[in-house]
Amino acid sequence: MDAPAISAHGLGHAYGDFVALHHLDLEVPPGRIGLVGANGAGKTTLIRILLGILTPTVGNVAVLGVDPEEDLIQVRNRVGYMPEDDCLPLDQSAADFVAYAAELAGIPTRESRQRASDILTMVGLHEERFRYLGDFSTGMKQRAMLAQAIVHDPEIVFLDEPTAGLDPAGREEMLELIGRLGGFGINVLVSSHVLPDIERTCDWVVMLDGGQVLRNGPISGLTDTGLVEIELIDDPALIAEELTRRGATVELQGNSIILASNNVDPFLLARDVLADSGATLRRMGPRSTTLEDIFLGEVPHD
Amino acid sequence: MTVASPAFAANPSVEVDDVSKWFGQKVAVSGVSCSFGPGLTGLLGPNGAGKTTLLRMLTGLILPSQGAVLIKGQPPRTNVARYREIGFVPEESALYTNLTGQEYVAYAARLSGISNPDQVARRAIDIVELGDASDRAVGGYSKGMRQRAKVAAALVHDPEILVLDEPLNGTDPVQRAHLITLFQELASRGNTVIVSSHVLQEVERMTDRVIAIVDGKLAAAGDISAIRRAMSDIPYRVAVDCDRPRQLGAALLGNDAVNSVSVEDGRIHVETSDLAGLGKVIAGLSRDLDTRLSRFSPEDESLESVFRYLVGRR
Amino acid sequence: MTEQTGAVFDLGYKPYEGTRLGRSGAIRAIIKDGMRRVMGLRRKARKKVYPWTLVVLLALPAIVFVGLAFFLSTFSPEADSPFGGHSEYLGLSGAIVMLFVALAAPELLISDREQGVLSVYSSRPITAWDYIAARAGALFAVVATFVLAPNILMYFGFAALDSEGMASALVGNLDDLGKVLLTTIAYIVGYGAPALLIATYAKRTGPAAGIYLAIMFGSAGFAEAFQNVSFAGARFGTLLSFLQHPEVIRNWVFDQAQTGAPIEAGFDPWASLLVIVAVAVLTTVLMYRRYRVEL
Repeated sequence: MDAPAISAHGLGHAYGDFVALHHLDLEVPPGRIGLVGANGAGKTTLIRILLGILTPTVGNVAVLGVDPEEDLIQVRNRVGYMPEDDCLPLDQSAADFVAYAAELAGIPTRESRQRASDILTMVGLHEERFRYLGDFSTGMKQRAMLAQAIVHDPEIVFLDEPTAGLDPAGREEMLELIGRLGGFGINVLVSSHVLPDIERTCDWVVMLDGGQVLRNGPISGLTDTGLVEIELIDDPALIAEELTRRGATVELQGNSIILASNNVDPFLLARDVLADSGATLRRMGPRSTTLEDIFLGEVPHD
Repeated sequence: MTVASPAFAANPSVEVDDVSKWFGQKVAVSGVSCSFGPGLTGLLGPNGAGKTTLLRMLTGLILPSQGAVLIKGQPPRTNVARYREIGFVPEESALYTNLTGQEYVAYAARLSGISNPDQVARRAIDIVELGDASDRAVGGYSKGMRQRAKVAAALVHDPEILVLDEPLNGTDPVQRAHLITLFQELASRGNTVIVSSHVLQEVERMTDRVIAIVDGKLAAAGDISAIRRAMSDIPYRVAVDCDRPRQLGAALLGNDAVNSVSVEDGRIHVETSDLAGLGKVIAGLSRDLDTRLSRFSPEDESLESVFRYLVGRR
Repeated sequence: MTEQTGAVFDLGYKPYEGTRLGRSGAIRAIIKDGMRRVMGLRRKARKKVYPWTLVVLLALPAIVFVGLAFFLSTFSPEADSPFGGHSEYLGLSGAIVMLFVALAAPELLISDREQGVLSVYSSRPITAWDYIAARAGALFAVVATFVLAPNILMYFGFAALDSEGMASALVGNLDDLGKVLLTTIAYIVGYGAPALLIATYAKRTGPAAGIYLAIMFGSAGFAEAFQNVSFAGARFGTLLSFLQHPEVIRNWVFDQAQTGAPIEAGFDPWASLLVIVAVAVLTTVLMYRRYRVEL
């Protein structure tokens, strides 16, 4: 299936006078996609347009090749959604509601109950699934919300701030679950303010600012620098000197050496200098900028 | 109570002395002793582990069942003036939604008996960069804006001690970076800043000193890498990338510094109790095998890994 | 020696490759969920008390009556039944229908809206229309069942007791069933539509039910007040007697003496029909406008 996961052409949307999205052109291939942007940058508006809840003022979008304005039912047949705010009826049990969520996608009753049971186990809700959702803790609710988003085996699922309110263990488990979705053949769009989470779970990023696209591309393409970062246990000065002597460009940042080389592979150079000197290596690897660096560098603020 | 222990700060402004708190049968906090001083300290713990209860005792909202909390030498509840010393940003939204931002912060100022509340409020609002929205009702604010309003209200009486419970909830990356810088600035000016957050990567960026509460008890305290070193019974895991992983892996296994080696998806994972020893030989081994070493990175030194070990140890 | 075999089966994620019933399956699911929600099924016990008490109140007289009649040898329906026939029974049911929809409509609409469940619906193959129709449909189906069933029981009961034999009574009184059906529809739409309308905008169940009941009960008195005022067009105020319009339809269908403010103000029963339809249309339009934005 080669249709882009998401595409937009000349997309614009305004709420009265306020322009939330301004002439967006996007093509995003299938896979694990991160959506980042400041509050008010248009992320929620974009998701609501993709789901067909909002009709764009101008332009159009397509989800997996289908425009929700043309065939809303087809789009909604293939998506799952885990919103940022709660979406659970507090007077029903988790097992009951997740089965209902499957039936809502057209899955017959008996199969729905089976699917719900399997998915609830997968997200880590066991005996507690028979309790009312109103009695659930935040972590349990997030799991139930993820369950309803994938119980009907969608082709693409939109996750809005999936780790909000979770403690470190909960965050870890949620991120791990999200990471596995790709392996199940489910495309993922994660909208999050926690950029390290996006770095961990996504391969592609769409950055929005002020209703426009700032960046749209693979994360590695954005973050690779071609530089090497080396951290030693001892004083780096001598090693830095030797590297420079052998023709590399070296920058010292605290205890770290940032290394670039045009004529020789910097990794081989580093290896040789370290082996010759007998210095104790603490850490070495390709230096990446973080999504945060990119984001803060691009977004104007005082 | 020895000053040398990392659970205790030099020149403490907040002291926790053998504090316990129980609610009926449930023991929320059990025998915690630590202190906080100038600078930024991260307070960590799983949900339901007593961290929130401890925070509420620090700010005087509830009393310990046993033991004492001292703010600059005095228990917070006995002396109303003590409240002047503390600013608290709670996790729940404690806002009057029909007030504007400016009105809300000015109200907080008035509650502290400040004589020129509007002016002081405006200043606090500027510090958190909420100026543009300060004339709108708080009810219409996004989560990030509400957080900033709460921080402004906590800062308005210029307290020496600032306690913040999940202050970055709902803030976007720009606002996060800005607030983190703000907290660090306040800390460097000598304020005692205590931040509780679940996003451990950010806590790591903000500070080196953390206090971890697990199951109501003090599980760890002090500098993050020192805590990791103190967990000497848990070997380090190091990820190694090269173009001949099996050969390098085999060679590593032959070295005394290495406990075990595994190869997964072309990446070598080394377990070692002697991280320095491994760091000394890795470059040489790579060269001997004529392999291109492209990564050597300890995988479990992050606060997240340390925290996972702490929680897993029960 | 036989070969030993063994296998390990994958417990991981399995894609769903079975039947998908699409939009119609989804709509059916929403209706079933609505019916359960209204009767408090699969929910805490206390949610069952109110609806089931009303259902029992609605059905019990008919059951008891028919049962008793079988014990009395000399018995003639219409003449001997303590509350007359279908028409009277429907009249009594009216109040119970109103009490029922007062709480049922909010239960159907409010929690989905206020607890954010509409987000789930917006990622399923249905439109706002489907949702509204399914929820309203569930309400009407449940109320219709509980109003019609006792009447059908009575119908068969009367027929069995009829002096001229059951078969001829069943056939001869068929138009009674038609009248019951029409009247039931008038009550359901006349009382149900305003309840759905209020539940579309209210934020909490208790106030929604309270406001609905206050308006409905109050409307009769309010309308009667208009009768005593004498400015031009005052009589149109009696059309606000939402409580009484279904009763007007009932008297009209069963060809009985008419009562109620609109009649006394000189309006034809057609006017009551018109008002019921107008309120239903208004409810539909406003519900669609509200839900189109969120679904």
